[in-house]
Amino acid sequence: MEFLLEISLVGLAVGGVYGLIGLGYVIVYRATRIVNFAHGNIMMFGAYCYFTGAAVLELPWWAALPLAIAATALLGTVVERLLLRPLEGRSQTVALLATFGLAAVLHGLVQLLWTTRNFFMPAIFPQQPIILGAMYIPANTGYGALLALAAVGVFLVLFRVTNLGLAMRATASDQVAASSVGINVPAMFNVTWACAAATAALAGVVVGSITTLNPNMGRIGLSVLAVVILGGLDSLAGAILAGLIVGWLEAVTGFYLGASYKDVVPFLVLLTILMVRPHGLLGAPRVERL
Amino acid sequence: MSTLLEVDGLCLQFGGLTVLDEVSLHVPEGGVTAIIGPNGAGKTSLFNSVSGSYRPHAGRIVFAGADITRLPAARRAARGVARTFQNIALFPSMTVLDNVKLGRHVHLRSGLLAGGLYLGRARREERRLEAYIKDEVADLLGIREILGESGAALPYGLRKRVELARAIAMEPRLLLLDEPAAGLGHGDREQMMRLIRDLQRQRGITVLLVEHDMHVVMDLADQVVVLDFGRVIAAGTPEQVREDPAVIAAYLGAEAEQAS
Repeated sequence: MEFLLEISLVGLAVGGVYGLIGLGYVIVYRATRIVNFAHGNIMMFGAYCYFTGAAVLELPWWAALPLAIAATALLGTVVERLLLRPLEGRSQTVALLATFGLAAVLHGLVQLLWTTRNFFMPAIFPQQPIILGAMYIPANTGYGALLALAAVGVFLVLFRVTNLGLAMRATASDQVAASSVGINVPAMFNVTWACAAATAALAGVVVGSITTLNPNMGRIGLSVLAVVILGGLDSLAGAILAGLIVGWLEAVTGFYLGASYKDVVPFLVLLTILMVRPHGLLGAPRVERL
Repeated sequence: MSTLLEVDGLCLQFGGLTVLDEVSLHVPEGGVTAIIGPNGAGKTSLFNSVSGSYRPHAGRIVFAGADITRLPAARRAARGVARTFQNIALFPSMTVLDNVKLGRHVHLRSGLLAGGLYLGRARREERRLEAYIKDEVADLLGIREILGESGAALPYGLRKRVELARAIAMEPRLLLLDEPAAGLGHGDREQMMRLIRDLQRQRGITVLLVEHDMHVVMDLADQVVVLDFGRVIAAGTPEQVREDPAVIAAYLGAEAEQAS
């Protein structure tokens, strides 16, 4: 029983990190209806930026982290401005393929700049494991999850209470109505991409701390995309909920059935749920008008 | 009266279809101008061209002395052009208050990010914002009691009023109303007409409206512009237009068809 609890906590911690990664998919999808296949690699870019600041330039974490987040947010605005805005008015498939291309470019860029070696992330969290009674939670996973959930919380509050958040939500809801009240819709798309990239950078630092830093770490983005689809591509709460569910399922099946089941069982569950609820757990069923 | 909005030789096509054909009109400042015409005459297309969601292929739109033909919709809104939509474009997942607050978007000064966060200046601005909405907008439209409710859940007539509240919160110089009385019951319709007259007389807002209900048009409008197949076929006072043979032909023809 104690074991189950410990495994569950670790699973939920990983799930919280999935939630933070998933948030980035959802905010871009809600605003622009684009599934950003480069999200995992934007996350990786953020992780390498932090690594460069902390390990190469030997900055303290409190300087390296904001710098990495800012650099990645800047990447987000550049991507929106130079890659996606020129494609406006074209079919969504075109934008989707552009994000595939972007993923490949970032993958190559990271290998060019930082080689294909594995790096260890300079420690950002306290390194003593978290001990709760008889339970033991690895430090990076535990603190990483706390940071991820705090970031999700801060983002949701900003999204809810600031006028910028209000304008972003209005843009996501109805672009014509939003521009009729004077909201600069392209600027909101730009801010949306910057926000998504900023959350990705933070997620990248956490993922890089839990595992290692290598040019393939962006692949986790694809697993999380499946998680986000489970939650409902347009639901912020759904991304968090689905992240926690899948993180927990992975940990529990990995422990009881063996590590090779860890990648299979959660996705079987996901497929089953999607057969019943194709729009995801909390996603809005799409009403098509004919 | 000076001219607030001037539309000059506007042409708009979709594919091979000509929707607006050399449309010209003058909207005098401070008055109510109504655009009427049979279904498909191009009324809403003209509206969308003025508000900026359609790009005309030829012609000019001059607002308050400045050429706005190439400006995006948001910039026109910032200059004082507000509108409502034929099928009501509220943000359904937001409260009534947030919907109306979005109408203040162009007037917000302290950074967008700070607004709503309780940081000194932003907090004062937020308080002023809510006070403004309550005192200047919500009371006038009778929506003070429902500010906390979700926009999507309201009955049709109320949603129409909330959408108008959002447009009024912009403190526009020109208010474009796309069928403000459509779908309203008798009482709501009379109230809407009183409201439009008050906005025009007390707040000096120039109104340009599209309306099918002739009773509303004849009662409110100082000037009526008649569109048919994308062309202006008549313009003048309600009395002049009512007697115009071309209008009677286009209109009664259409109505006779509908009646049969």
